[in-house]
Amino acid sequence: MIALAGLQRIELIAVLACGVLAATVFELVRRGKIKEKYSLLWFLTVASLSILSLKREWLHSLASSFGIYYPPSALFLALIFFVIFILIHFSMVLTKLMNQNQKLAQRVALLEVEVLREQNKAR
Amino acid sequence: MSASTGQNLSPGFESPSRLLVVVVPAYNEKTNIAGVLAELSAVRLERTTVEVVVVDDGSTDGTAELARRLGTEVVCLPFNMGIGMSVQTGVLYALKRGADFVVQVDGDGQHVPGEISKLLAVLETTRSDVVVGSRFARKRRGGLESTTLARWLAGRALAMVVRLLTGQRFSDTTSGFRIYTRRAAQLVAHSYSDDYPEVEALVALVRRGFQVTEIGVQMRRRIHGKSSIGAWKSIYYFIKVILSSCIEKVRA
Repeated sequence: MIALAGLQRIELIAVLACGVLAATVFELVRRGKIKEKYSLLWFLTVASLSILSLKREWLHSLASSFGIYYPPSALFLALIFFVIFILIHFSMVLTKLMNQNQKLAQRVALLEVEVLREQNKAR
Repeated sequence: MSASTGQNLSPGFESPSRLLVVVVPAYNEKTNIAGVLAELSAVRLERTTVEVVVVDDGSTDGTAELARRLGTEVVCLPFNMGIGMSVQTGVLYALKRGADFVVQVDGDGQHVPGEISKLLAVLETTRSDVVVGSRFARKRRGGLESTTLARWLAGRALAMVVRLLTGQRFSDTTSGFRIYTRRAAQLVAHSYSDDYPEVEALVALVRRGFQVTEIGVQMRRRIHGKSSIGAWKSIYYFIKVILSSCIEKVRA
């Protein structure tokens, strides 16, 4: 384990930001504002970025394999990757939700017609 | 109004053997809907009972109440969901009623209910699954005189896209004036886009082997109110429709 003092400033900030993000997401889950299954991607993001910030060799080898001269830039790349991944996931969830919502609305509308018909018959 | 001649259909009694349900999607069409319904009530088809259902897409002007007062069956969507969802809801209703044919007639008065008999006749003689009423099919250059240049160009472009995707020529790809057999209606009930569904539906239908025929019909300009589509929306519409149509071609 690398001592915190040995970190460059950017890496220190990254670790702190990850800590804040993790705490925020955790608190939101605890209050029921985010479902557990939607928090998983966030925790995965936080964990990956924290590891890259703390394990400098890993960050460096990642950077060099991508041809990035300034290793902390690789952190941003990883962050962007996760954020895009999460956003696509959201688009999928949104689409699914919308499909379900539409089906539900259609069924309600059709059931209402039947209820009204039955009521008219009963009268 | 006519709408529900079929409500007390007991088998064997007068037995009109077939049921045709007219789906009328309507969004804030209070000024036009009564005229459309009156015309629809005058539609008589051989050996076929006609039922009308208005699908109210969350209108705020009392379209649904008016249609109900006129004695038409109305399906009220709980909020505005788009023309595609309205039509699909109407189709679901029609299938539930046991419809043999489903016709879409827009609530704005553009479509001429008197032409339904022509759609049905062509459906039967050509043994098609779908017949689309086109306002252009009889005109060689696609009716530039009746619209703006931009709209005309967009229409031609969509026709070309559909031709590339289906290998079939359609002159009026965005026409909503269509008749479906029960089998084809089941596809619409299963998958139909929520907004601007007409073009990609052609691609979907042809791709699944349904025979789609286009014929020339009389259409009217809107009597009251503006079309729901403005300039910016038209651009969005155009791009979205082309994308959806292409995706429809390769849909999993």
